[in-house]
This record gives sequence, C-alpha cells and structure tokens, in this order.
Amino acid sequence: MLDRTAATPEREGAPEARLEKAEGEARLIARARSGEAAAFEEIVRVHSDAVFRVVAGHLGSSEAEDASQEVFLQVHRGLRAFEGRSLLSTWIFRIATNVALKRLRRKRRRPSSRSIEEGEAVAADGPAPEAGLDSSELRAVLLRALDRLPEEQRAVVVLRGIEGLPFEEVARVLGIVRPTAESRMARAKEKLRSLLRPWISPEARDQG
Amino acid sequence: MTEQGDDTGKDSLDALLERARTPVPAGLAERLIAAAASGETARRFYWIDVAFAARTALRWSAAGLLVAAALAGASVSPARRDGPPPFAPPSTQREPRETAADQIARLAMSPRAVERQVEGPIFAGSEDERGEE
Repeated sequence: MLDRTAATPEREGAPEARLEKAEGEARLIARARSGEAAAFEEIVRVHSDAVFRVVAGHLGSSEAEDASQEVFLQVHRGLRAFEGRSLLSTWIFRIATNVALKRLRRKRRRPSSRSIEEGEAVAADGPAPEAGLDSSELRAVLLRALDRLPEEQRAVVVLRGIEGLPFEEVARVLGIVRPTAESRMARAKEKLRSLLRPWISPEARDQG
Repeated sequence: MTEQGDDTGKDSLDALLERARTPVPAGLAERLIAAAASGETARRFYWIDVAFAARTALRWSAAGLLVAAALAGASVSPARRDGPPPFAPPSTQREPRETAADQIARLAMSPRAVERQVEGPIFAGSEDERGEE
C-alpha cells in the first residue's frame, strides 16, 4: 500500500525517493490491472485530493467533483495502456489538466456562458478589495483572472502556483521542458499581477 | 506547499495563489470510488462526449455549407447581374447578322432597281422641258 503522502511533491525531490515511489506505484498498477478493486481504490485515495484541487483551480469548486469523477474514470479505463514511462501521479495530473481544459472549452462555446471578452475588468466584477476577501471570494476573483490567460499559461499557474508542483514535474505533466514551464509561469504572473493588483497588498506589490 | 524555494522566491502573488487552493470536501475519495465503479457514471460521460462531438460536427457542417453556398453564389452571380452587358473590346464586337428580310430588301435595292427609281423623276423633268419645246 502506498503512503497517502506519496502524491505530494515534497518526496519527489530526491532520486531515491522517486525510485521508491515508482516501484511502489508499479506494484499498485500491476494489482489494479489484474482487476484488484482494492488497488484502484488505493490509487483514488492517494490522488483524489490533488486531482480535485487541480480541476477546481480551473473550473471552480462547483464543478470540481464531477470533473474528478471523469478523471478517475479515464484513469480506470487507461490503466491497461499505461506503460509506466512516467510516474502515475504525472499521468493522472495530465489527465486532470486535459479534462479541466476540455470542460473549459465546452463552457466557452456555450452561448450562455460568460466569455473572456465579456469579463472586461476582473476588478470591476469582483468584490471590493478593501473589504478583505475570504477564500471563496478570492477563488472567484482568481478564476476570472485565469480566464484572461492562454490555456498553456493557465495550466502552469494551476499546477505550479495553486497545487505547488515543482517546475520539473509541471514540465513533465505538460510535456514541455522546464525552462518553457518557467517562462510561461513568469508571463502568467506578470499578467496576473496587473489583473489582481487591487488584491495584492501594497507592500508586497512593491516587492513584486 | 512545496519546494518553491528552489525555483523562485515567493512573492505576494504566490501567497495569493496558495490562499486560493480549494479545500477538498470530506468523503471525496469514497464518492469517487463509488462513481468509478458505477456503469452509470461511465454512460453519462460517454453520452456527454457523444453530444459534444455531434454538436461540433453540426457546427462544422453548417460552416462548410455556408462556405459552399458563398462559393457557388460567387460563381453564378455574373450571369444573374442586372443592367447593361459588360464592356467587350472592339475586336470581339460583331456586326449584327443579316436576316432573310434584310437580304430581300438588299436585292430589291439592286443597282438597276436604284437606277430605275432614279430615272423616273429625271426623265419626267426632261419630258416637261421637251413639252415646252
């Protein structure tokens, strides 16, 4: 059985920890492929929180559970084809990102949905910065700001900025090299800083 | 949060992004396990995908039809155009073809016929002059 903390990136830094994790995952995947329900349940338990946070970072909490279901359904279907060339967590993060971005594209095509162009000013739509935001208001403001970013930058912000994956892992999930991930994050942060200026404290703003 | 320190220094935006992490609802894993095991969930997502693919195909078909209609309209429109015919250079302009009635009229106006027509009044004048003599 895998350690529940295995999906968190703290343990991925050291090569030996990564190898240990890969060996544990390989055993777990082999058991899940052989049809052992408990093995798949273990995979869901280990990765569900991170998957939820990633899809919620793109879609908001109201749609996140449904999207997480879709992610694990795809994991269940795809386990037989999974070749183990990446860590299981990398593969699952990639599925989660794809599911979230696919849903976002669908929402944008629906006429009733709010388009990026309509969301002219993040600040104008959101609650007053002076009032002090609770976390849910902050998430709503951030979602509107993320809507203004290109998909590839948005994916990096969610994986790196919100979920806290190391750049190395972000690059593996998105199939890019680390410098690309870093430059996308830098460009995204530059834009987010201007969009979220009212919500960033003045002293911190001066630092940024 | 993890090894932020090795990548970049944390700033206020990083702190804001961390604060925006969505808390995970209780019992999520159990609900996800139940849903993954249920055929109902698989069917639901299957039909959502099918419906989306159908809508996308319809949209592309409609766009294709519009393009085809626009191209067809562009190739037919000169023949339908109202107003004077388009200018043709003199080399391509032809004389109107002679009809049967034109040929009859031309033969009726042969040199002899013309001569006869012209002779009448002249000789008439001469006769008058002769008569005076």
